[in-house]
Amino acid sequence: MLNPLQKDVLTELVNVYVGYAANLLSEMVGLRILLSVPRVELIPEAEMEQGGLPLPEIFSPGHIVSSYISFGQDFRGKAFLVFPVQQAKLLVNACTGEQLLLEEGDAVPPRFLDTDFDVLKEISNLILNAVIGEFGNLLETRVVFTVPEVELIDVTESDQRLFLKDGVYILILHTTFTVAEIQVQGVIMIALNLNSVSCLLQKIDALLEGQDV
Amino acid sequence: MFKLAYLALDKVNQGIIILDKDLKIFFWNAWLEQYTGKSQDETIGQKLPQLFPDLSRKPCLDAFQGALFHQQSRFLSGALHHCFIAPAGDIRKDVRQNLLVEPLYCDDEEYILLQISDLTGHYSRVKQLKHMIKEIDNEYEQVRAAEKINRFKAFHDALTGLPNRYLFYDRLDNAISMAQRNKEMLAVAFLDLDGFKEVNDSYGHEAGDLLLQAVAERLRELLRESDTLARLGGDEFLLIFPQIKGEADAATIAEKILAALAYPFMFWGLEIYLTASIGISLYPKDAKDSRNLINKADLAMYQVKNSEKNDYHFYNSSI
Repeated sequence: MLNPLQKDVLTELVNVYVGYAANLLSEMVGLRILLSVPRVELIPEAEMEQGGLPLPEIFSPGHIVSSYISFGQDFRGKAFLVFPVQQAKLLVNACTGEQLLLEEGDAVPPRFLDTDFDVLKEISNLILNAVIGEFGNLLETRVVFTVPEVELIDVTESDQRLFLKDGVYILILHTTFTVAEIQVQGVIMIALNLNSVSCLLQKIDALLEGQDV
Repeated sequence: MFKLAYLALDKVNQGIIILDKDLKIFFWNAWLEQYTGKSQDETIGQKLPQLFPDLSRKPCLDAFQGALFHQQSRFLSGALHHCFIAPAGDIRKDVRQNLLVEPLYCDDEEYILLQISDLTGHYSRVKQLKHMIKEIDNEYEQVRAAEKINRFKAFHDALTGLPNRYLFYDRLDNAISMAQRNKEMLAVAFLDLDGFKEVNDSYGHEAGDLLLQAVAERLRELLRESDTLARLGGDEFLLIFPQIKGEADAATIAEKILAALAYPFMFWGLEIYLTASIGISLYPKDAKDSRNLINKADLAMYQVKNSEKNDYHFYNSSI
């Protein structure tokens, strides 16, 4: 879907965007937080639905924590921040200064209290706003946001595809959080309609042409 | 209609503030009047961050900027920021509030809507809940530890810490299955101490107990990891020697045991000499199940007891 040059540009852009978010997060929790997006993919949802393409590893069946915001006007879609449940708890604990060691045994999902969801809501709000807001700036369009909703979901094989059903294209940003010397893996997924994807690709191509000149 | 909406906002059970683009208070609801002790007259037209310094922190100002200039909604949690607007005369120690910041437009003018919820009670309940979960976890750990101890006690002899009869039978059944699968031989030895009753009668039960512990220790040191030593009760011990090549292996171990017991046991300034009678049965030659192997080792042991003692005998059909 993305040629290698487009992929490089998009990777560079989203790394700058999550960099802004990381600075804001670091100031907020008083810890040095690094965010990086080493890998970016743009996948037509139809291909995912037909099982033609593998879902990100993060979607392995089991519990995940997901938060999403929807955004609209010219650049439309939904953005998700998805973590495996253990990773989400680790991130919350790192941000609130709680014990970083989780209970042993992967079979038991860690306990999430409302206050943990509030922390995740704020973190995802900040990150998704930063990423989507910067996409809006790039496309020179006004973006309207909602506040994220956070849910703990038991994802089965069939749920995984329903979960992504809303957009036409899925932009997948594999994200690494480094907080207090621990690493937390998550995925930012942006479900975009065809028009938004076209705008984005046009803009990326324009940036590439500008570079060639 | 406008008045009705205004009245409704006053009835909402959380703080509602509307700020203009200069961060001056445009609307201040009744909940906030009661919560902060500041009336609408005192607050309307005032710059919010000046009135409440907690709202002049960078994350708050970023959120206000984001709402005004980028139409971003922001959620700021009490878990990370604690308090935004100090309540009047509140004696609670750790006030927690959630703040939602959203952009508003009206007649081409930009405003910010703030919604503040006091979650102090909720947080204190969460704290209690976390405390309770921790206590339950601790108790669960204690129960697990106790269970482990009880399981150990159920299958071990309290005096020597050796496997008891039940564990011995279990180990023997397993050893037989393994020997059957691998077509191997194993030996069962029945050991009875000679002269133990005299020690008990002469020096008392306490001395007898010490002696049994010392015997268990001495025997344990002789055995391989795969061997099993169990105390059946009184002065009777049972042993399993798996994976032996023939009678000779079992005989060697029996001789080693007798030699080890030949050294005196020293305690309370006493020098106590003991010997043992050992009967041995072999799988699969003498029997193929645990009960018969033990019975036959027992019979062989009685043959030693009834003769010269301090020796070992293998079971044979003439016994």
